[in-house]
Amino acid sequence: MAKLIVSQNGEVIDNRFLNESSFTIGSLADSDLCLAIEGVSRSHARITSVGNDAILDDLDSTNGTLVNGQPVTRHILQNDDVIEIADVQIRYRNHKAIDGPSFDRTMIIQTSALDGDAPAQPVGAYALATAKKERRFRAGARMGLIRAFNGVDPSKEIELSRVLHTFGTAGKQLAVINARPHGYFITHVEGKKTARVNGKAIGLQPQPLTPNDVIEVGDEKLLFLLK
Amino acid sequence: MVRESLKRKYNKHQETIVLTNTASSTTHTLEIAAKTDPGILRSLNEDSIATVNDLGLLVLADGMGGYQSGDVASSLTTQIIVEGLARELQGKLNNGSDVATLVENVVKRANKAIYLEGQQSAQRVHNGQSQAMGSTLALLLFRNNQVTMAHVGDSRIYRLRANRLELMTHDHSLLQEQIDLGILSTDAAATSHNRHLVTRGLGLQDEVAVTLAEHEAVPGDIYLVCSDGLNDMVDNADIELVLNSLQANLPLAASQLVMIANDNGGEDNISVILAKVRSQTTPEAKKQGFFAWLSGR
Repeated sequence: MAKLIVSQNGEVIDNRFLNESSFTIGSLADSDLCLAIEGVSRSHARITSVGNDAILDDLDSTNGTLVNGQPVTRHILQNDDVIEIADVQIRYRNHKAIDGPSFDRTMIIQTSALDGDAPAQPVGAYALATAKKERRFRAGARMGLIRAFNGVDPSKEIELSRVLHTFGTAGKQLAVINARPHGYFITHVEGKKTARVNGKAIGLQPQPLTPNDVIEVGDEKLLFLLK
Repeated sequence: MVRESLKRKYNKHQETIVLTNTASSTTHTLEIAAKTDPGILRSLNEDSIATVNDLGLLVLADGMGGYQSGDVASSLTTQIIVEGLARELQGKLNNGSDVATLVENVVKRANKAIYLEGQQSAQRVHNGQSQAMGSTLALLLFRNNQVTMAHVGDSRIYRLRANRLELMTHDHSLLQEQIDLGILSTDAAATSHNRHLVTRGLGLQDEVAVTLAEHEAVPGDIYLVCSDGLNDMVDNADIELVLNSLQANLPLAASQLVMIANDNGGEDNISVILAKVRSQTTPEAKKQGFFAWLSGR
């Protein structure tokens, strides 16, 4: 269960569990956490628990609410976040809010009140949760670079910054270069014959690229480099 | 009145087109590629996928529940639905039967069967102690140049049309509900710990609400059905990039989506099914060449 550790002047003054769906903080006596201290508004902030999340809201307090030194209006609390209200620090502890892979299986929660048959919405208009942050490259990895030998524009140079880039001619001969955590790989996509690296056909399996490899694909002759 | 008569005229016009199409037999064909992978961190794959090219049917299920029961639930889901639809659709080629109702009924039957199985196994194993077992579902059925979609839970269906990726389903998840209510922004949702909490699933209750939709299948469309192990690990821009860049080689596109999800952490099971709608007028020679190339290694 999520827990709040309340400190003032470096000393712990209170410990609270977030066992209700709504937890209020303020100077009013009936607040769940009553802080009768100068600088605390009557209804200062609220923590709403939803599933594994605890969402902190500043309730338009006069002096504001900080999390890890930054003012917030609404914030999903992360394990070990420090909420500051006036001169009180509140540390949030929740093992379910630790960043990183979650080993929880997809769990089932009770259908909420608003469920049921939601009205149909136009295709593609949905707001959607985005994927977790990317961590594609190892720290300090060098960016791959493709330089044309004899293309249409000989001076063209392409940074391999995306997860993949295709080279060649669609419908004739196409190869893809993937930027992976442990390096760059070239794979055949389409065409009767595969692309060639240093004069040798790449076959159907991905082939690792090393700097100064010469790639022939479609009508292009390309040089692979690391920046 | 004017509008109505125009509409009738338009419908008539359409009918003619449909008839001509049937006569010259330009029904679309489907190219399908699929891949499922346990990911980096899990040893057990609780996803289950099934495709039946003759029926134009793609089914994906992501199981949930402890003691390997998620695995049972997802396998039951794909098995019951494939068998049920194969039976129902037999001999009903191109007639005007209501495909969406058919799909809904089969999904509801699967739900009941998994629910009963969950109760029975709970009795066997834990002497009546309730043991939740369930599965998500994402389903596509291509019939008469139409595609019927059904989903329950947080498995998704995307469509690439005119090089643009669109999400065709709306997750039945707590996080999505919070976004819909304006409680969370989509950016804030990235820091949420509620990613895996679904609000609907097969086998959880004796009844289930299935979300259904029907669209025209247009040649060139690429449909993607996936479990959350893909869309949690790979952002939409990269999914779009893979489908756009590799649409000439669907099996490669499927395996690269799984590869990228694993390169980004592979925290969950990853399943993808790709289906490309082709017009049958595609030169047969070219298609044969493509498949000959694939198998001729």
